[in-house]
Amino acid sequence: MAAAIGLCLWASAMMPWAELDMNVDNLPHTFKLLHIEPVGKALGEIYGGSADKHKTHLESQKAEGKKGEYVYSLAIGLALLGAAIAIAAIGSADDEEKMTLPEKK
Amino acid sequence: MKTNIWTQIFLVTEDLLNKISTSKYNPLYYHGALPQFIMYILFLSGLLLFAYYVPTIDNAYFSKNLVNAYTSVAYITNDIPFGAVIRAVHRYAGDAMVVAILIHMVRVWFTDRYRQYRWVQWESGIVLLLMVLFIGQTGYYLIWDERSLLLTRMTVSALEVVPVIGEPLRNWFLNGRTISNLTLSNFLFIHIGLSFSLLFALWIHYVRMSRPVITPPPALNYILMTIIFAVVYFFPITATKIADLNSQPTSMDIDVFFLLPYAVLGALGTTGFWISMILITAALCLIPYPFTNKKPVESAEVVDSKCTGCSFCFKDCPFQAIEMVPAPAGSRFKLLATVKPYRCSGCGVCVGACAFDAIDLPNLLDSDVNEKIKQLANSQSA
Ligand code: HEM
Ligand code: SF4
Ligand code: SF4
Repeated sequence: MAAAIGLCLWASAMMPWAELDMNVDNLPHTFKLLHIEPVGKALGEIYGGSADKHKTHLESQKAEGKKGEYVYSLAIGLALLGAAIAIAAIGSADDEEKMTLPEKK
Repeated sequence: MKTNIWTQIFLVTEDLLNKISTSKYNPLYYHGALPQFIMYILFLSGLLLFAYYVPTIDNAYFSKNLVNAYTSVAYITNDIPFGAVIRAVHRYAGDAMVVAILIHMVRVWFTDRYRQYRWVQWESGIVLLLMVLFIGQTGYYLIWDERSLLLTRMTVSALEVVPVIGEPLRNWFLNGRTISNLTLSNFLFIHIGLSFSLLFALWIHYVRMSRPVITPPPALNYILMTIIFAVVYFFPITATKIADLNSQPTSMDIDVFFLLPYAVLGALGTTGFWISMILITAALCLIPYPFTNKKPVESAEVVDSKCTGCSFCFKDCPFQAIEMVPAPAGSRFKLLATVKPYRCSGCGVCVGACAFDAIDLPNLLDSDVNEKIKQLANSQSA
């Protein structure tokens, strides 16, 4: 449960980093406006290590367009997975037996 | 109970999924709802693509800078934020739809829920399957790369050999005698028009079910989206070559979910293609029938003199087999329940719903059942 929520949060924070095309050197103006440049830089530190791996994979697959967007796709997928596991862990408390033996008439 | 190897395999799978996901989240229990949910993903991602897609072939072979279908797809992929991802989501959700539908089909077949009073669901299901496959194929025409051109030409060759209506069919398909800008408008029209017609076909699919399960639990939806997003990352869509009307592309990558019929067409030729398609479709449509009349269902019967027209049975019947009609003249009540025998599954739900003992299964009278229950209860307490 805690691991699932952790995965969800970790992957959610990865999304903005991916959206920045995995590069926090030139943060967009919004970051300045909101005074959250340190957050941007921190994202770079947390996730930056994997940027090359993503790029190598995507280039070997001949992905078109910005590579970061595919990483965003992966991140949102992982975030949803974490959310799903957490929800299911809570929800299966009121689980009921549904398995039926089919009988061909 | 019959337990052959298939039954074993299905039961073991079901049991395993129950262990992994608990039965509340077992995808097998949402076999019909999953394709329905994927349809929404397709509608939404398709809408985003539609905003930038240009359905023309204008000098498609002339210059890449001119706006045509192919360049608009390239533009979506390379310049629109998340364009490549949305495009891939749309494509892979399409593939997921086919997989989900196949699981749904196997599941209703395996659980024996497709015959007799369920024939409308099965036959409309076949129509839905054919529609989905054709929508997917038209999706591949829209890209207007070499494969699209080859698919278009193969389709034309298949349509032309249809007796009597072959030529009109071809002209309808191409929206004229040859491939032109109008052709792609027609492809787009078919792709989107048929997609929305799915809603109509689904209405027919659901019309005889009182409580179809059409929404999977959110957790399952999320996992489905995780799979699609992950596939987008691991297998991005790659660039293809623009269609050139002067060239003769002869081979292509086959998307096994949508383009298999073209592999059949390539292997068997036009006549073989039509014969195999017709045979497969007919066989699918006939699956529910060999057994139909072996053991007709005993339908419920209303005892008119006892029915108060309270509508409880009507509300509870899972198969919409009960209709409330105006009570005959002279009755104290406004409505009378009537059973449509060909829709009735003999499930007995209505018998339990009726507080007035006014509806019965002829071979299983309410009074007899009550008597039995009493006996059992007595023997237990004794
Ligand atoms: C776009 C594709 C389809 C969608 C969205 C869809 C959706 C559904 C849904 C939501 C149900 C209700 C399930 C329940 O309440 O448990 C259902 C029932 C059913 N479907 Fe489909 N379906 C599709 C295609 C098909 C196909 C291709 C077939 C078979 C050829 C089929 C055969 C049936 C049958 C026989 C039932 C009745 C099952 C029962 O009463 O439990 N469907 N469908
Ligand atoms: S037995 Fe009653 S509830 Fe069941 S299908 Fe027939 S009419 Fe409907
Ligand atoms: S529940 Fe009984 S009384 Fe009410 S409408 Fe149905 S048959 Fe008639």
